[in-house]
Amino acid sequence: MHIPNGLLDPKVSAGAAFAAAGALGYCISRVRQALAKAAPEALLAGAGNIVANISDGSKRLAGNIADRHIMKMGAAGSLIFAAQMFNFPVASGTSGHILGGILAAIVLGPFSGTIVMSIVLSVQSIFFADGGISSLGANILNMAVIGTFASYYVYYLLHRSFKNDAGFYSGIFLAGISSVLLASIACSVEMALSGSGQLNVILPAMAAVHLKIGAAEGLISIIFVRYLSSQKFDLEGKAADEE
Amino acid sequence: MKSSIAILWVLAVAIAVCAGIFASADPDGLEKVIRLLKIEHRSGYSPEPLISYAVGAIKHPTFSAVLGGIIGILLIIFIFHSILHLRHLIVLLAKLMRAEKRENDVK
Repeated sequence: MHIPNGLLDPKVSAGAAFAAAGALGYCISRVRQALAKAAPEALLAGAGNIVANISDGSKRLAGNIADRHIMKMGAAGSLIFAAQMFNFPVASGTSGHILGGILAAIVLGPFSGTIVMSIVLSVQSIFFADGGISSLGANILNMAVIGTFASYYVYYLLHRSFKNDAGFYSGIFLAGISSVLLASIACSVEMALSGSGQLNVILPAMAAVHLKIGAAEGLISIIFVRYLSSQKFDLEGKAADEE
Repeated sequence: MKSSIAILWVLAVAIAVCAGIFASADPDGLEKVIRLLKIEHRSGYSPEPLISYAVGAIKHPTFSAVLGGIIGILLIIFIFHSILHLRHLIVLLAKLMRAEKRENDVK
């Protein structure tokens, strides 16, 4: 669903780029706050062992937690990059690939997930011509911001409502569908605003294809999450009572 | 934590290899809709060496796509490691500035 160069009107591209930049700035500030908050909490968890200067220890621990989280973001980003390369057939003569938004959000949390998705999309656009440079803002808005955030809150609501495995996995599946579907709706609106055609023509065509891709996204995300859970992987966005 | 990061790296490389071998060459959802509705658009900048995840210098399509994927994975890891080192640099500079300010205050 990477929008190529020249498909969107420059005004639409600019508007989408501003919206994406604003959302990304907010995500970066939330991740910085979360990492700063994580250190004192980790210190309290091991308070019995603390004999040294609390302030220095807190700063050192904050640094370690931040370093680990950034490395984990890089590893998750490389996984999402590879997963997006894998086009699978969805209908005769049509293929699709997962976006990875819900996977990123469950592995890292929605804010870090959005940042990782934005960097993956930027690399794809700049180095691999997958998505235009002029439409990078729109691609980030559709796939990283809407595709990750909206899908995470679908998952979050279901998981919080049921708080069991059924809620967890059905949440991931529905989040996968909504991630791709909402991103395709946003893409259709941008195309219609750019004069590519009528929204009532573009939207049904986009939704029909992307509903199938969304179902595949949901299933593939469940497979990844199940595998990572079996490896005792720390899924930072899994908890239903955080963020 | 290191082993959990390694799990993601191994998965990424395995998927990139599989994608190079098995990925469908058919147009994706958006490309299909653009063709179906005959929507016209101008082409723009395309970096020649790595277009469509393939390394232009390698003629074998599978090797070329696998190598393209691995280059992409390395680029992503490089970017996040650069962010990590940049963060360390900023922390170090802040420490130096604080130490200098303390020295000036003592004087």
